Amino acid sequence: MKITLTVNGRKENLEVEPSTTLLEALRMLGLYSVRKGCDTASCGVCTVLMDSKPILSCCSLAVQAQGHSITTVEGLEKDKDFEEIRKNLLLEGADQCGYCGPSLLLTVYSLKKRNIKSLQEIQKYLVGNLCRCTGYHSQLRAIKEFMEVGE
Amino acid sequence: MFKAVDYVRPKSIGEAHDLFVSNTNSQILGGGTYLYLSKRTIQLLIDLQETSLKYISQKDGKIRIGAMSTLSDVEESDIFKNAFNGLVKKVVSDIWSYQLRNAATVGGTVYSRLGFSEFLTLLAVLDVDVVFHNTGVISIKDFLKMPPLRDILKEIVITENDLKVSFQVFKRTHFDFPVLSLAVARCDDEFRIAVGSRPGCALLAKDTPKLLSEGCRDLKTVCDSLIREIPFADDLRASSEYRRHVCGVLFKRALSEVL
Repeated sequence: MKITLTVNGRKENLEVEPSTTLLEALRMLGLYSVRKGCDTASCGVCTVLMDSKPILSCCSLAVQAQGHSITTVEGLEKDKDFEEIRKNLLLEGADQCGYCGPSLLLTVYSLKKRNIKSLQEIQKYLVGNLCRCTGYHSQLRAIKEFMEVGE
Repeated sequence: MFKAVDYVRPKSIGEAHDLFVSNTNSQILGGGTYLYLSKRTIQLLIDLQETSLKYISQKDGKIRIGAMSTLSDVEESDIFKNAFNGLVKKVVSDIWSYQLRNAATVGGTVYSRLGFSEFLTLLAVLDVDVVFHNTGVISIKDFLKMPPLRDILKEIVITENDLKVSFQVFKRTHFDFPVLSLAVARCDDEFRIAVGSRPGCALLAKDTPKLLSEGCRDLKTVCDSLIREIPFADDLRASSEYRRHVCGVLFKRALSEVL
């Protein structure tokens, strides 16, 4: 079936099956920052923003996303907050293989709009973003600074 | 992964219901977050996102949650900051990941009677009505015992009251499904006890609440009674024997909060 998705502010027309996932559709559009990982809603590497909230594109259907605004890291390149968190992660060496990087950036970016007050709260909201190489400490240092929270 | 042949977005619940009952191989689509685990071929996916079922309201001591409200909507609602001392908000905010809670719906969780749902275990001990388009209002107590209904869940209605509630859960890690969840509610001498992730759906105990209502306060007696009457099974997270043990521990903790 033919659908129109709003991705990074642009209308994109696609031909998909009703059971095509949003992940598959976004990669069909060449948005390879949206990664395929566990396919079981566990690792979080397929995270995208739907109406500014992070969701898992591996268990969302492309057809469900019609009428919503989808954002990937490609759509935030000129965003000030996005640039800041990206810089913080780089300075802390918090990105090794890079596979989980875009999903982590999007989740943290969306958390900036919430009233997060503690490191514990940050950790709670990030449980769904698994990283297999940094050990999280460097990421958390960068995120704490970005969110301006203490211990 | 499942396959779907066709997809529709009806504008009203009536239209969605007609499509659902006229096509035996149709499936209601809430958040769709668990559907992807299915290997079925579905003729028609009926997406309810345009049927105005996304709301949380509070009026005359009742909280209404539209079936298409997400778990995050519940978590972020000001209504649940105060209701039941923030317990509903706390329980929902500990479910799986932030990303999943932003998509998974209350209707999908309740209608599907997901065995691992902590939320359902808590709802089972509150005064909750489940409202269907055609069948009408059913108490959650009856709903949990019924066979699956070919009907559309519209909303759940929680009556606010002075129940003293304790919710206990045991997970191997924070980011996992529970090995067991347990909720106890007390109003004077009336008790309700629900056990979920057995691994089956939340089940309300019958005999143990009676024992407590009759004044029995011997922890061993009431724990033995609960473990005896609730059926447990094995799955990849735990054996039935382990769950029985955990149930006793969680029940004692819950009683210490409500007695």
